[in-house]
Parts: sequence; C-alpha cells; structure tokens
Amino acid sequence: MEIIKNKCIGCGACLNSCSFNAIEIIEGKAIFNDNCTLCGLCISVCPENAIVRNDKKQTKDFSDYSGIYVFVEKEKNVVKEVSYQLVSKAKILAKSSDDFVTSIIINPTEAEISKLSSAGSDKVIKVKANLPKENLLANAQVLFDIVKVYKPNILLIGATPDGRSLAPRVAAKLKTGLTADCTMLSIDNDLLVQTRPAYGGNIMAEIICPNHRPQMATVRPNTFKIEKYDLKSEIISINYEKTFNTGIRVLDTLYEENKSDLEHAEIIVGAGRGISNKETLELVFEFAELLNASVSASRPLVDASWLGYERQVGQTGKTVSPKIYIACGISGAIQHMAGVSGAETIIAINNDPNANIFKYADYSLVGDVANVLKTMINKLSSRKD
Amino acid sequence: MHLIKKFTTKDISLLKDESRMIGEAESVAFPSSTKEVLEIMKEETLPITIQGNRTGLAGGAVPLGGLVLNLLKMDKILSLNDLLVSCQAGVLLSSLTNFLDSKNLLLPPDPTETSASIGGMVACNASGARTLRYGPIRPWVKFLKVVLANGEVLELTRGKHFARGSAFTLITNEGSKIKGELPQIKMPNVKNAAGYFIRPNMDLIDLFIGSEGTLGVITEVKLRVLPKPKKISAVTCFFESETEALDYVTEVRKSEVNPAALEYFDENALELLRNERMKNPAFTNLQELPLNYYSAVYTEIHADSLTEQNKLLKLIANYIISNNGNTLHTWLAVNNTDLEQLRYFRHATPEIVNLTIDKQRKIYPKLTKLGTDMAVPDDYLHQVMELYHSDLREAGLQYVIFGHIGDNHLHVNIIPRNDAEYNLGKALYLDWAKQIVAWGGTVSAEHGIGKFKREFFALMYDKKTIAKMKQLKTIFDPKHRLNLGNLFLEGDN
Amino acid sequence: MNILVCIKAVPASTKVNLDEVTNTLIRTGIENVINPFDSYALDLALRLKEKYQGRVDVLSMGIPETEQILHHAYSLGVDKVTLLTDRALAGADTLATSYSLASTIKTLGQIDLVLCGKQSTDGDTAQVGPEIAEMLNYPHSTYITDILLAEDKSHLVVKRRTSEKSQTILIDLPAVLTVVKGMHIPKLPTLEKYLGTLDKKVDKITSLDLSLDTSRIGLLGSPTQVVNVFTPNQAKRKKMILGSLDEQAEKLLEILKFPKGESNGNY
Repeated sequence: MEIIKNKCIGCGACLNSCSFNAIEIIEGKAIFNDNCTLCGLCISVCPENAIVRNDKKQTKDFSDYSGIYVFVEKEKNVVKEVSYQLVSKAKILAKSSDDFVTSIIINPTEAEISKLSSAGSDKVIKVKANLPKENLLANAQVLFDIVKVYKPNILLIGATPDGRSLAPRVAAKLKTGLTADCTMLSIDNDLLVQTRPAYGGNIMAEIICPNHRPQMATVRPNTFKIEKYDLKSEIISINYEKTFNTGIRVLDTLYEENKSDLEHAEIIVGAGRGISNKETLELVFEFAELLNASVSASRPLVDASWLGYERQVGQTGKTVSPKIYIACGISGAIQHMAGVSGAETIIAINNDPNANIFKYADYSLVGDVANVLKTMINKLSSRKD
Repeated sequence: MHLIKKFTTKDISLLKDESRMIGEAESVAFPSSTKEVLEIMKEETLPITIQGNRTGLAGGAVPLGGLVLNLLKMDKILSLNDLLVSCQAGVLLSSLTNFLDSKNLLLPPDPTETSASIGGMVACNASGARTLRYGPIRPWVKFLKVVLANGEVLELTRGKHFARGSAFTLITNEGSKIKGELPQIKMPNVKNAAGYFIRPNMDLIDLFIGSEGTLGVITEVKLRVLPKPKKISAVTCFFESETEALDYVTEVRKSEVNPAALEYFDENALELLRNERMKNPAFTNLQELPLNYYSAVYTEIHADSLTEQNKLLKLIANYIISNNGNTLHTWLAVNNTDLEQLRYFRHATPEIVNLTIDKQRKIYPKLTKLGTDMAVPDDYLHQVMELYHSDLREAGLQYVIFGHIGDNHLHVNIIPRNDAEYNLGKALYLDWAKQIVAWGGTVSAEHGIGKFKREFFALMYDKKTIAKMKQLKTIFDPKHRLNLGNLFLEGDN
Repeated sequence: MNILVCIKAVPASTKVNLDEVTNTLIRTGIENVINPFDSYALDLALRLKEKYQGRVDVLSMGIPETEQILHHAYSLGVDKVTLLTDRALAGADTLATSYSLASTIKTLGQIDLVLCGKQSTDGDTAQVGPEIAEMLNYPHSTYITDILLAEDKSHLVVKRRTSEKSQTILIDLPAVLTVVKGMHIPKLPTLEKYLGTLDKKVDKITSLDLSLDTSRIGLLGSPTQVVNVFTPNQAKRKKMILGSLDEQAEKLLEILKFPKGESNGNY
C-alpha cells in the first residue's frame, strides 16, 4: 500500500480509521509505520483517494485450469441445501463467463444426482469410496486428489461448520488461497471476486486470488437461491480406492440436543412482554419448531415464570449470537439488547410502532404477534408437506 | 392537549419502578423538549409524577394518581465543550457513557444501574462504586434547567446563585422572583441521599440535586466529566474472616493506593454466588470461587501510567498479605474485558438475591426484598457489621451483605422465606436505622427516600424539621403537584 | 504434555464507529486484547497443564506493539511467549500466516498439541488452525469445547460441538485443535502471577531468524488479496415489512431464508 504524497492533504482521516496506530502525520503528510498490517481500512476513508493498494495482476498462465466446481456436503446421508444453492450460483457465474459447472459428490444416490442436475450442474463427478464415517480429513484427502486431476478454475464449498473445517485443509494441501464465508460472488476477467464480511459484519471486503488455482471460497448457506434447470448432467464415475490413516476417528455423534442450547443456536425466537397470553406463547414454540430454532425470553416473561430462567437473554441472562434473532413482542429495553447485540440479523415483530426494538431491528414488522405467527405457521407447515 | 394522553393498559409498565411498588395514573405524557414540558405543566391540573427509566429502588417514580410525565423521549445529548457535557434529562446513562467512551472521557461517579436516566440520577443524587474517590453526582452537576410547577423555567449554574445565610432569591427566565428561607438542619457527615441538601450560604443548584423531583422538573443537565485515567485496574481478593477483610479495607482506603472503589461480599453472598453458578446456566460465566474463604473485597485503582499501576498493585498485594489474604487466590483485571467480568460478578449478587425472592414470592405474594441503604462514619464500620450479623443470626434470617464498603455503605439484603420473616426483618431494619442515625449515619446513602423510606426519613429528622422541608417545597410548588408522596406524606403537616 | 497455543491480538470491539460529520470510519481508542476464542484455547491448555503437568507456550504473529498484550499470557501462567514479528510478514493472508506459524512451530522443540481459537474476531476466517495442521502434517479438529481424556501422549478424546451436532472424537497426537467456548469461563490472572512475571520477556523473532521462504510470507506470499473494503450501509439495510398480513408473512419467509439479502433478490 502506498500514500501518494502530492495527493495527501494531511487531514488525518486515515489516522482515526486505523486500529493499529500505523499511520502518522509528519510534515503535513501521512506515512505508514511498521505497525501497518495492510488491512486497507484506511483506503476508503481518504477524501483525496491518496491511499492506493499496489494490486497484484495475474501474471501466470492458467489456461489448463477450467470450470467451476462445487464440493457437495452430506450430513446424515442427506445433501446439504447449501450445496444445491452453490451449484445454482455457480451456473449463473458460468453463464457469464462461458464456463461449465461440476459437482463433486461422494457416494450419491440417483435422486441426488438428478437434483444436482436440475440445480445447474453440467457435470457430476460421482466418487465411489469406502471412507471412515464422518471423517473430514478423509473427505479433504479425496477432494484434494480429485482437484489435482481435474484442475478446476474455481472450487466452492459451503461455509457450514464442517465445510469450514475441510476447506482450509484442502487449500493448504493445494497451496492456494481460500476466502472464508463469502456472501457475494462475481466474475471479473476470469477472476472470482469474493465478497465477505469482516469485523463481525461491520465491514465488507472484496477479495481476489489472481496467481493461484483453484480459486477457493467457502460460501455462507442461504445466500443464494436454488434455481431449476432442464439439464442432464454428464456423469464422471470414479472409484476411489486409496486408503490412508487420517489420525482421527469419530466415536459418536449427537444431533438433537443443541436446539435448546441458546449459546450455539443459529436461529432464536425471542418472546417478550408483548406475548400477552399462554396461547401466543404456544405459537412461539410451534413457530420455532418449524424453523428448527431455539426459544428465548426477555426478563418480564421469566419473572412471570412463563419460561425458565435458562431461557432468559439480556444483561442478567445469557448473551447469544445467532445468525437470526426474531424478537416477538419484545420491547427492546437496553438490558435485553445487551444480550442479543451479537445477533447478525434482528427481525422484530411488535404491535407498538414506537417500540424501542425497532431501533435495533434490521427488519421491522408492526403487527399483532399472534396473527403474524399463525400465518407464518400455516405457511411453513404447508411447505413442509 | 395532544401531549397529554389517557392512561391505557399499554402504559401499565409505567405504574411501577424497580421497587416493585405499583401505583395508579389517569394520564400520561412523553414530552421531547423543555418547551413541551412547559406546555404540559400549564395545561395539567392533576398531580404530576416525573419519570426517567424507572430504575429507582425507593418508589420515587411510582405515580399516585394524576399524570405520568415520562421524560425518556428527551434523549438528546446536546453538546460537549471543555469537559462539560450537556444533555436532556431522559438520556440514559449507558448512552452517555458510550458517547463519552468514544471521546475517551469518563463520568466519574459511575452508577451501577447503567439504564438509569441522567435526570433521575441528578434528582436522586446518584452515586456508584467510584463515589469513594469521586463523590456522588452532585459536585459534577454544573448546570440545571428546571421547569417549575407554575410553568416557568429556572436556570441554575453552579457558582452563580448562592443563599445569603439562610435567605435565598431566585429569578425565573420569565422574571418571577422566588424568595424563601432555608431551614436549619444537621446533615449526616457521610455519603447521603436522604432529603434536601441544605446549608447556610449554599449554592442553590444543590437544593435541586437530590430533591427527588419535589421542587421542579429537571429537563436539562450539564455535567463535568474527566479524561479517562490511562490505566484502570482492579483486584478481587479473599479473606478467611470478615475482620481481616474490614482491616484490609480500613488500611487500603487511607493509603496512597487511593482506590476508586472498594466493594464487599460477605460469606453468605459468596455462598449464594457459588451455588447459583453451579446450578443456574445463566451464571456459568462467573469465575470459580476459591474454597475456604469467607469474604471478598473488590479494589479498583486508577493510575496515570503502567509504572504507577504496577506500584499500586504491589501495595495492594502487601495489604492483602499483611491481613492474612493470599495473592495466589486473587482475580486481577488490567484490561476492560477482564474488568467487565469483575463487575459482572458484583452485579450478579443483587440479581441472584432478586431471583431467590421471586421464587419465594410465588408462595407468599406479599414478600419483597428488604434491602438497606445505610451508611455510617468511618469509625463505626466494624461496629455496624457486627450489629447486622448478630441481629440477623439471632433472628435466624437468610441474608447477604455486600456493597460500597469504602464508604461504609453496605447493602444488607434480607431474603424472607415467609410473611413472619418479612415482618421480623422489617423490624430489624427500623432498629438499625435508629442506631445508625445515632452514630451520625444516614438511612439512605444512595437510593433516596422516595415513597418507601419515609418512615426512616422520620428517624433522621424530627417532625419540625421535616415540616420545614415541606414548607420549602411549598415555595416552589405551592399546590404540591409534583412527585406526590416522595419524601413527605401529604396531609401530614 | 507440551502444549502450544497460537494467539492473536485483536481489537476488543468489532464495532466500527462512523464519524457523523465526515462519514468515515473511526477505530482509534479501541483497546487491543487477546482474541476471545484464543483465550478459550489458552484456558483449556492451562487447565490441562494443571491436571497433567507439562508446559504451555504461546506463539503469536503480529506487530511489535502487541508485545504488551501477549505479555498478559504470563500472568495467566504461560511458560514462554514468542512473538514472530517483522515488516516482511505484513499483509499475510491465512495461507501465508499458517506457513509462517507452522514453520516457527517446527523450531520450538517437542510439541504434543497445538491449540488455536476457532477464529479471530477481526478476520473471522477460521482457516489458520486447519492450515497449520496440514503444513505440520498433523490431524486436526475444529469447534472443540473440551478435552475429555488425555491419558497418554499418543492420543486425546475431545468434544466437538457445532451448531448442528456434538461429537466425541479420538485424535492422534501431535494434533491441532481449534477451540470454542466450553463449560468454563477463562480464569482471570492472579495478582501473584502478574507481579511475579513483570520482568519476563516476550521472545521476539523475525522471519530472518527462521530463514523463512520469503516467497511464502507476508503480502508477497499471500495468494488472496483484498481489492476493496467498504462498510455496508446500515441505514439502507433497515427495512420495514409492510403490506397485508399474508404479504408480510411471505416477505418474512423470504428474509428467513436470505437474512442478508440475496444478491439478486429485492431485500
């Protein structure tokens, strides 16, 4: 990174943006000192555009790398939704760059293959392998071996907990770059532009990987929609027979218990004072069940013993950081908000348009909680059928 | 008239505060400016109860009929100049603290309840853990804008309006002269929030600070703040006996350590925290308590450099050791994250007491927490602790003692298990108040009198003095419309 | 057992304040601390040491200014703190960081277990742990909440807990584990340890000391590169869900599916 001397007016805006005390103003000009980590936060701050990044250009020839590949993740023998979402997104990217989409899936069923086709997969690499169960390191090895042979230009993996454990292992084997937890993808001149949140989502960064292949990214689930294509994928069958010792063994796995566990929950439905009767509280639970979410409460409901203290969220209860927090009838007192400040997205439903919660909410719905929940429950349960 | 609305069920939470007393009201208003408060004052003929965020523990914001004047919409921070910050009365302490934090500034007294409103804090002369070093909020208040019951505005700047002996004159913005006499009273020489602050030749701004909204509506406040100390750190240490802890406190508070805060946890408080941590998932984030210790003291220090901080920490270590404590069993916090944890431990204590009482209340709905707020002069610290423990043990009551030990200001929280115990506790409370007043202490060091502690107030001042204070209210509020029931019982002249 | 904990100094708050007047970022005045996830890793290591003896060392890569934050580890009971620092390392992405750390670890003597926090709160990538493991050719596991059994130096039984499941895993040593918050809140330092370790030094080493491959470190050795940084417009993101009850419910369903707004959707 560089400060263009004759553009810098010494205003100091960059100083304030730096977490590392890495910029000093000397004789009216900003200069970087040794603390600089090249994070680039100061670039967008400079009113004179005097800070520039010396961007690396693509210098190597990668003509033997092609295609957008998606590694398909399975859990409990079911393909994760995110994998289909990635295939569909890959198809959109491929269309824009005149490329093709390939899914890599281990021990698939016919139904899974046809769903990958309809999601937009031009080819499916069907790997037949006898691997130790739930062993991410074994999966990483298989994926590495396939990538070595097929040379993808781009490799996408779902940013699920397992995906985020496997992907860096593969990237390190391949000695290539990996961008975590992307929320936007586009293609610019054969380069994948990967946008991801950093600093707890307060800042978005656009990242490229110009001189290494494949360009790898993990992508957050539910960022892209599953499309429908009328496609018959070309099937490439591989019999994977290599055996190896991974150094780990999964002794047992439990799936159900985390639902009541607020601190690890991805979706939390919060019930507050606006839940004026027990019938509505029942609706909250029904709604949460359909979303596979946990139920929390604000203090008034716990004080009234409608819900146990283990569900209380706020200054005097738990601190939670779900991806989605749905506040039902919660007024939004700051004591409560202190407990949910880590939530990525806050959706508020309240009948009082002046409720404090709406100051914090990303999405605000003014309305009767019971009616909204009833409608949602109807819609959700009809979709499940 | 649009400012005043009929009181409906959706306003029901405005009928109570943290005292859990429940009042009644006919109408409600949420003004957003001094001008709107003026309009309401002129319009309304019913009694008016002023509210901030209702965090008071003495029922001061609980309405006894009439209009609820809730100031939470007056939530603007107005200006910051040369360490003076101006804000509207409804600004919450947490918002102000966040704002000051970003400017590397500090409001020194640091009240515990961060969701309190600034207006409420001034009206009750709030204090906090750091009052030990920096005093209550009183000296930090430099300017007040007050709407009087007659619909006129009084602006008071510290250092500008003094009483002459006991005579005083104030002129409103509208030009009215308010003349009166200050009664002669003897205030206790300890941290105090019981009744009016009155002294001959006093700065008249002090009359309004701590007046619990009985003289006028505080709508705007200017506070002096300080640059943040470079290093804030704290140690929680443990002792095998309470005497050792008290000796430590007595030594360290007058030493060059000059602690910003000294907080105490007695044996029962520690036991309660220990148990709750084990069985209640909400408190698993508490530190593990070392075994075989029966009292704990939190000491916070403010230093201008790392060298000074380390020097003070060494001094603290020496005081711990010389009082038979063990520096291996200490919790040290030298950064904000760790400080937060020590504060969380402190705040968990009253929270757990409240939880325990809430459980009891399901069986005995009449029960409330019996929490004392009394302070004694330095010389009586050991004695007052002995008084509390021996009375409570003899009565067989369940209780914890914790709080601002540096100011000899401990909260005794009695957890009654039935109505009989509740009454027993109440009687003890009254006995102690008498003794503490005799020792030159106060019946309320920080929570104020409100509607809950009038009985204790009557122990501190004789009937005549209270009647004179009431006359003082009459000068500013002739029809006694403001904050009815705070400090004085109406019709009791 | 000899345990090495990799830690990173991060800003205590991920909050980004905007200057109301100039609409620019303000990040000054934010204290730097040990990455909270790394604190869990460190605490887990120190609890193991209490139980099974051995030593706990700390390794960090960062700017010289972080020395004081790393020194804090001594007051928690760490035996030795090493800081890998020099200008050539600046701008490293996860791969270059992992290479630098893994190469350093190889020089630190006998290590049975490497612990990392699940991720850092500033970068949020969760990649450095698994990448170090690959470069050391150790097995790894992520989202670890507890170590159940550490009877001998050949393997561990660990508890893994994600938002989807909890697992018990047997892992051979040496290994790399990335740690999330478990049953315990990390212990605070003691006054005794703090005062007793004031004179201890953080061991500072440079890439030259280790003769690292310069084409694999710092900005130069980083395959990925940030080309643009921007703050999502908060005001724009705040949305009212309007319409009839049915329309509101439909929109809500869409939001639940794509809380961050689908890139080609309308939210």
